[in-house]
Amino acid sequence: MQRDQLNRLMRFLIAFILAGAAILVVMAARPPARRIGIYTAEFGKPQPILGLWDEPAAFLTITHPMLLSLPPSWKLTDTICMVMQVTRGTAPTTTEFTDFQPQAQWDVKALDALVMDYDGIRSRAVDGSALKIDNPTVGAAVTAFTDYQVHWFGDPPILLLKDQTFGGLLCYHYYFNVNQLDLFHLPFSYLLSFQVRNVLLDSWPAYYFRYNAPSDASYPPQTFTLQRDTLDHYLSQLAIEAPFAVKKLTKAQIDQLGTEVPARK
Amino acid sequence: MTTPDRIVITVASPTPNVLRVVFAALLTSIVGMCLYVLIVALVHVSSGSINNNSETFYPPADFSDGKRYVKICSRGYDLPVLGPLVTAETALISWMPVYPALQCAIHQSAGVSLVFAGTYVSTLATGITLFFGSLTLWNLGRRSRVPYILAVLVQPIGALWLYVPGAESTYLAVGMVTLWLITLPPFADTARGRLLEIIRIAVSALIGVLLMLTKPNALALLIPITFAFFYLSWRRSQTAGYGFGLWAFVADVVIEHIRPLLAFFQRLRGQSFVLEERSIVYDWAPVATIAGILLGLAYWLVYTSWLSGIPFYFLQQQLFAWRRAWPTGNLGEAFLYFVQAFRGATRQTPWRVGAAYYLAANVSALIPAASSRVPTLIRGMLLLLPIFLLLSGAVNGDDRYTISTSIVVIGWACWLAPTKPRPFTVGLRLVFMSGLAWLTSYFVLFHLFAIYALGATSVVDR
Repeated sequence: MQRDQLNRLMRFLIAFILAGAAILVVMAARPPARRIGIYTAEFGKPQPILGLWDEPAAFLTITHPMLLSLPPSWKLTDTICMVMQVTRGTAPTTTEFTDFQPQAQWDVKALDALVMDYDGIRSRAVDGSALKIDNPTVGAAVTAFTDYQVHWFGDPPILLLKDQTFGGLLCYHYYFNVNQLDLFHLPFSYLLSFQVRNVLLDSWPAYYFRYNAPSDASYPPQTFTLQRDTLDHYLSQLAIEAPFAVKKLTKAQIDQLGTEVPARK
Repeated sequence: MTTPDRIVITVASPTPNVLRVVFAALLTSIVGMCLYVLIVALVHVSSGSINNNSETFYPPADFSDGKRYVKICSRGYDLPVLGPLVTAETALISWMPVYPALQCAIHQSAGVSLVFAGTYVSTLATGITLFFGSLTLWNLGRRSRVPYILAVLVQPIGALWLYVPGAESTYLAVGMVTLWLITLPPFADTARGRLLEIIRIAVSALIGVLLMLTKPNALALLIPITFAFFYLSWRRSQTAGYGFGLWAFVADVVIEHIRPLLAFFQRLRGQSFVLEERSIVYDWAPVATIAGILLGLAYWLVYTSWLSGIPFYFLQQQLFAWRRAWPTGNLGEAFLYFVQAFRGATRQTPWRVGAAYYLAANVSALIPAASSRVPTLIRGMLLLLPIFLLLSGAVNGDDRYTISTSIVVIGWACWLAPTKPRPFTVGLRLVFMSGLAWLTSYFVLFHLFAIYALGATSVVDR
């Protein structure tokens, strides 16, 4: 190679590098829009909760939503229940010491630990009613008075490590707060969105529900129309279709509860 | 007379002399790394007293930048909580990727805890700095006990900042490799020599990208490296018979590259186009480094913009989240800023130690430029180094950035290095430099941290 050829090659190489830099600068000037916030989720399919770069932090699956009439003797308001299943994705997390204590789990990567709790459940009901999670109150009554053992979702907070899945039942209702009184209310339409606590998120799924509302085009096609059912029938069905969330008690367990809770008799 | 082929054989097959230089550089590197580890140990032994808490052990990564590098390694880059204006808040994006990537590599491959991995990276970077720094001094003709002097020099010249794990150490190391590549003597003008030249240029471009990704301060090197291109090409052209000065050479290079344009215009005017032949020999490595730095900047702009969805996110972070001390290009404001260094402390306002510190850092970089002991190439680069600062107003953290710039380190090393065997004067210079560095360390560690806490280092007056 002669000196002139080398000069030509170098000019080409440097022009090539600078042209590459120019193309990158143009790309930097027009970044694609990030999908931020909620997206409409589909029932019955794993829906990603997405961290930065659209990396999934977790996958959420919701099935069997139902409005349940509770026995009048429990003196509890009607509740909406659904089966939830969450699987760990790959997005890295920031874990608080109180959620994950490394001394107790020194051989587990703390950065895999994903935390999900009730704080990540957000609702939007345009009629001004507020969401209340029923798991603590309904859970006690179900344990005391029915023949089913229920895996409740999110209490205590769910800690998911790599390749782990957690499933359970979530129950909630809506209320108006008027003159410091909570009045039960079922919104004609609402959405529930789900986030995780310790990942910076780009977008997360929102599930749309309606009840006693006429069908029209204002709702997304994925909107679920709630039906009413009795608790006993609902739990018996889940014991077959979602055994990770609901199990039938054994006879010995039922007998034990019978001695402990006189009202069952 | 030596034929070009015989020169090539000399380059390709190291003679005992070359081996001795490489061995000395290696020895320097090892000595320097040992010194570095010793200083790290000393700092951590005294970390309790520095932090006024003798019962707590402060690991090397326990400082603001260190924590961020650990976060980048463990979580990747993220953005501030999405507020109304995310560009106004500092994000992890502001900390460049090379240092945390090396931390991650050591953490993953050797199982070293992340709070200590930074120390490994900085130790390794110190070794690379000293190895290539020694070879650079050799390239610049400082061939008498120089490596040992550099070994002693680099630790104290880093004063505080090289003790702790920080990207400054990688910036210095990669910068030193850059300078070594730039100062390499020209290869023989043969086919094999030109092949080696191409390899050197390609490596220079890659190193330029890497340098930009260690610290954005690589942008401050664009002007000095441009000077290096013209200066080195001019010197090489002189050996090929070029008989004019540097400014004429710059003009000739420009004319050479717009020759087709000039010919076109002359043709339009219906006139002939004749240019006097000039013997121009280019040294392309500095230009390749500049192209690499610009490519690295463009890549980082794309990465951050696509991550955030905000155009030129990295640039916006640098301009708005990290405030500038004066508006870009406003030299009057720059002057007023530095004058604050001479304003005494009052009951309401502390001494503006930040302005004093940054001024001292820049002046200290210029001192070797005034010495005829330093080669012209380095003197010219040193003089041009502060221009970017003055133009941009990006004074924040300039103390450690200036000191961890390879040109500055080599400038001081050339000032120290003996050109004649006079051990006494060399000893005096060493004592002066070491004394200055240890005194600075003492003031920073035991007195200035308290003033920092008052916010006196902020670029905005308080």
